[in-house]
Amino acid sequence: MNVIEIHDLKKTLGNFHLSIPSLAVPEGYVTGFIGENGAGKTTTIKLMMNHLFPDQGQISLFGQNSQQKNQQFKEWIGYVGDVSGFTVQATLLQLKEMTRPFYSKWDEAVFRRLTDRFALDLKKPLKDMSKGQQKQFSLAMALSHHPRLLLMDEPTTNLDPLVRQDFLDILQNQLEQEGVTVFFSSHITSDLDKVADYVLFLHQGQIVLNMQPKDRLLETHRIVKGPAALFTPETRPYLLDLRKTDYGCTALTTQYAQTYALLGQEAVYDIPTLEDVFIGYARGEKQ
Amino acid sequence: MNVLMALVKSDFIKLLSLRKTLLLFGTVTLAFALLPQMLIFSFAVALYGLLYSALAYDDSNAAFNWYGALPVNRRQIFQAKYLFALALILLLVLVTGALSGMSTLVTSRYSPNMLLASMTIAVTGGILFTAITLPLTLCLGSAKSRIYALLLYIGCFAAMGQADPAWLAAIVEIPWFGFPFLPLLFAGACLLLALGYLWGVGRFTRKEFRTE
Repeated sequence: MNVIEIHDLKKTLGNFHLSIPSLAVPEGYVTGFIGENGAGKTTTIKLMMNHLFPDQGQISLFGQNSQQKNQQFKEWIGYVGDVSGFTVQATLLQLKEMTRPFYSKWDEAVFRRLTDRFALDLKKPLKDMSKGQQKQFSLAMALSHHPRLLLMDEPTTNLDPLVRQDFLDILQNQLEQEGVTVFFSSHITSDLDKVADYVLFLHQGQIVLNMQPKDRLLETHRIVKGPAALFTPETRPYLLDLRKTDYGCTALTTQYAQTYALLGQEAVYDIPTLEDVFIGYARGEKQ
Repeated sequence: MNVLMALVKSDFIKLLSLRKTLLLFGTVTLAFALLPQMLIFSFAVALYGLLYSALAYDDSNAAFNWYGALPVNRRQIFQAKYLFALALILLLVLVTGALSGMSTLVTSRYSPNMLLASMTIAVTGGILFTAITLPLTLCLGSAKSRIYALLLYIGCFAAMGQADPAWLAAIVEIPWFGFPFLPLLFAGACLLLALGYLWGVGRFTRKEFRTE
């Protein structure tokens, strides 16, 4: 079953145009939604949450149109947005009291466990918390009503490495225990390297790579480096983002076997990171 | 808990969290409500301070991101804001009325009839304020709505200046607690509240919750 489905989605905000012809997010997996700042990740998630309305197309969550009058399906969604919208003057306890009545499956024990784990002082106002603690609180709130889908928009941005790791650990524990579907936007690809099952790339409002299993993506791509003379016109169909460097050329190949057949052992083949692959797709038309 | 009640409750919790605002307007209200002749003033200050603060803090905290994550629709959010405003009016008029009432009993310098009339005027003014402020602020945001509200007030004053004296004299003849304008004003305020709701609810339902 697909938890999120998008068909022919278009949205214009000023000079920015978002266009997603199709997208299907399967249940029970972590999907990393990768794009540079301003690529349209937040706009897409806000469209899913019905904060924004599409100019064209349809978004379904759990098989229901996200724009329908009854927004009850949001009980199944844990949302960690770029901006939480919490009253920053309120204490964490007050914010919990404001939110809890809306969720029939609210679990006080989960809330206490997570806030204890993050060592959050519930009597403190949100404005006295660091950005990292605010994100941790948002995650605790999002997970305390046993969501089936966790929608997170850049949850690890501005977090220091320790807090980020802790955040990802909690996330993974929760996933293992409850089998939640996670849709996680980020431009910090190293986080997604750790947790994502599927990835999709968004660049300047367009999907440049749609829902690929992350491990297979990394297996099938290679960073190729070698002397410039090696990269003849015959090699170009197999290369993305061919760039000259001080030591020759570097490119991303989507067809390792064919590229190896052409370049042989004179070239060096490295396993790419998600960042390498994203940069390759974002920069390169096939050359 | 009913969704509307939960939304109204969240607004009251929000108010409680605004400690300095609450302290400032609470002190002014308590101080002036002890003077029965200042009941309307203390009510107006408290209502303006608390209702507008709740709306303005929603804006400054981008609270619609929070509302948008809840399993509620925009119509329910809009309705709950009206319920919150009306509950606040009721609460404030009871508090200011009780304080002024106690003061009246002690000093006997103010008649109960006058007190009742003052409370009615306060409620009427509160409804008028809500009728204009709430739909404008919810649909346009607190910064933009101030301009429209100002234009409306200027328009109202200009219209009052142009009103036919005979028409005004006829209104004066209607008695209610000894204050002839009240029934018409109260009915007008309620009508405006209903019109404001009808004007705003459709717009708010179509409003996008943008962060910027």
